[in-house]
Amino acid sequence: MKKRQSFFCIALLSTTLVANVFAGGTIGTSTFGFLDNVINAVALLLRGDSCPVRQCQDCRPGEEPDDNGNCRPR
Amino acid sequence: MHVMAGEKMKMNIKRRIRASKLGRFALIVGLTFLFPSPVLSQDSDLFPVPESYQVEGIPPMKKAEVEHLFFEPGTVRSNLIWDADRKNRRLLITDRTNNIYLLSSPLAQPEKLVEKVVPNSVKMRPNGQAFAYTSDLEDEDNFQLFLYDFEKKTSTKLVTLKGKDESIDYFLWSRTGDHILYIRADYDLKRSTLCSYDFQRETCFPTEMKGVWEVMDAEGDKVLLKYWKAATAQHLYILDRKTAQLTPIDEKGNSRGAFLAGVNLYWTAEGNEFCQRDPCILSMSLKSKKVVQLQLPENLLSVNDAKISGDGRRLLITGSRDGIDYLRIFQLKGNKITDEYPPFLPNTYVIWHTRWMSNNEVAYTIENIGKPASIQSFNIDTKQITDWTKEKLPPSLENKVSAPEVVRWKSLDQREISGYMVRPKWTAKKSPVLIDIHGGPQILARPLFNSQDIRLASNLGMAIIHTNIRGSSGFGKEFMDADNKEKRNDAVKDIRALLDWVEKQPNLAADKIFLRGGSYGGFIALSTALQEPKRIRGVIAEYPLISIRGMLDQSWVDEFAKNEYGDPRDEKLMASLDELSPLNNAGRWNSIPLLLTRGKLDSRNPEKNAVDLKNQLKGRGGDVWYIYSTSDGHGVSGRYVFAAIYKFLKTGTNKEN
Repeated sequence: MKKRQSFFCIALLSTTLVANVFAGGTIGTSTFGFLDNVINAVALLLRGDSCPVRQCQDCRPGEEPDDNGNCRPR
Repeated sequence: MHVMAGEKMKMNIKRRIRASKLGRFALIVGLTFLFPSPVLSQDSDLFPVPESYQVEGIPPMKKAEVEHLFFEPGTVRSNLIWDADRKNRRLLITDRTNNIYLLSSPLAQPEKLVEKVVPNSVKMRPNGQAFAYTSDLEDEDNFQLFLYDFEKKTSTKLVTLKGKDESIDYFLWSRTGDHILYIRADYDLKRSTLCSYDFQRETCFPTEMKGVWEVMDAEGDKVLLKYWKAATAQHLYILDRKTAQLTPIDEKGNSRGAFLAGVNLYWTAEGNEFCQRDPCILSMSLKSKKVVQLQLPENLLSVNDAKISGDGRRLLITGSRDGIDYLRIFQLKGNKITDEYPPFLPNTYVIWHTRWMSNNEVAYTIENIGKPASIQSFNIDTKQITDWTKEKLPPSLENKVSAPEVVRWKSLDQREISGYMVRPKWTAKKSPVLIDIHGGPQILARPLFNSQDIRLASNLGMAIIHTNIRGSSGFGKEFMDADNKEKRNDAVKDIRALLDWVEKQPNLAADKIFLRGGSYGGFIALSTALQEPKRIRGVIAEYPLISIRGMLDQSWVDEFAKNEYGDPRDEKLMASLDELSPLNNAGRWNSIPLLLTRGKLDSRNPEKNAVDLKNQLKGRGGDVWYIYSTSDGHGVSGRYVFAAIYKFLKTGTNKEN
């Protein structure tokens, strides 16, 4: 009985803690995956015709699918 | 009875023991739930730091604190034009994702064709069967050329780059669409090579071209090229493909835009023998070499862009005044403007990405501070406007800010500097101020739709001033050169003078001024804070230029950069520029809180400068919020960064003096 109870407790504890570890990454991320910002303020930093690509271009949306940095079609 | 009582007693004891065991079990189970629960709630309550970020000094942010800043992506729609398919009257468009979509007809559902490659430029093949694009997804800042085939529905890399630091920054289709012309820019060897690819082999011209060049147009054997000598010295050349000979067209003026139309070459010029000031458009016959200045209407104040229709009979010009754009269409006979078509757009928009859909239809995007970009076209003959996309905005962003106000102030040398201010619609007291300084510096901040401005204004009551300090484009050559080399500190003085202007405004809180700048704008923000130890509440420097000496030491740096910032061998100049940076001047930094971002893949500026600055300020007890992204380059942005900016500003505005 004792063995079964302690096994049950350890299993329960382990499950809860492991779930908790994953919760930080997956649950948090997926929840906020639906809550997004849109066009970044640096959208104002436009690639003009007075500056070559490597000097002024900094279009980097990064990993966030919702964030277009200052990406503007040329 | 006693026996019975004794038995009962035994059974009660057993029950109690069992109950006690159950109680202990329940207690353990309860404790099991009780103890991890705070951990569970702590982790799930916190706004997650992306795995690719390493952060220092940023206090944990609760989701409840920042989640109201964000909204579902489906609640906003903003579309821009990549290019037009004139053959089939359809458009290649993008949205906030920077993917490439096909829009087959007005208001159709966009079809996603290419995703996640973040193209720099997309150009449709004239026959409408394919398009080419450049992307540096594989290697930061080294763009490669790809072809998307509509029939195969796949992308193919066209050219293999073998140089140490080679990039295809510019390309275009031949008029017939049977080949692509492009520039192989070798930043290591400091030279450009014009090449063509006909889908069987690559042919490169032996013409030696030092520095960075752009291929602008091609017709027959003539290829129009631009040499990026300096921001105000963009020189034009024609390369003859038969002889590989390079002929200068304009080596005196600043030629921002140019195109070929039949036997004529057109270009916008400033500062040559024909045109002293913008706006000016010149035309040259390629046969007689005779140059004519187009007679533009007197009320045309500037030329942002000029494009000619396929039949050469109509000329489209976009320009702007105080941040509001106009799109005007003229009749062209020979190389003379004969008439203007009546205006069809209200003067309330920023206009982007104009494209001739046909000889009588123009496509363009319109947007302003409260309206995300949408795509329209205008038929000149029928005078009909067609909506190709409709913008969408979540209610949380609607009607939150006032129309942008143009702001003008005198700098310390009496030069007029301008910008525009976004303010919350409703505010009861003095607004804290966020001064935003753009990068470049040769670009122009215009009042585009900007959800971050709206959220900062509506949630923190902030007034955001977007500045166009000296060095910005749009104000002429002299203004753009007014910050070069030893004059760099004059650009800092422009922001310092703005602080004086803010102090005089009754509804702005001069004791709560924050600076924000990305790239070059970050340098000016840092330098201003160094020189204004008491008037700045906080600095947000996003992937900033930190040391001009350090930047000029990078192997990619070319003549263009040296014309802007100076010769790194000029030790006297470098020493004076060192004085503008907080790097190695941390003792002069008055504990102003700093939010600093840096991308690991950023090759424009040395990482050491960012790390050293962070460590020097922290070593002196400074309040430094540092975000280091291992997956980003020159540009670090995303939800976490914006949440941190919001928290940084909120903390700063709430802090007592």
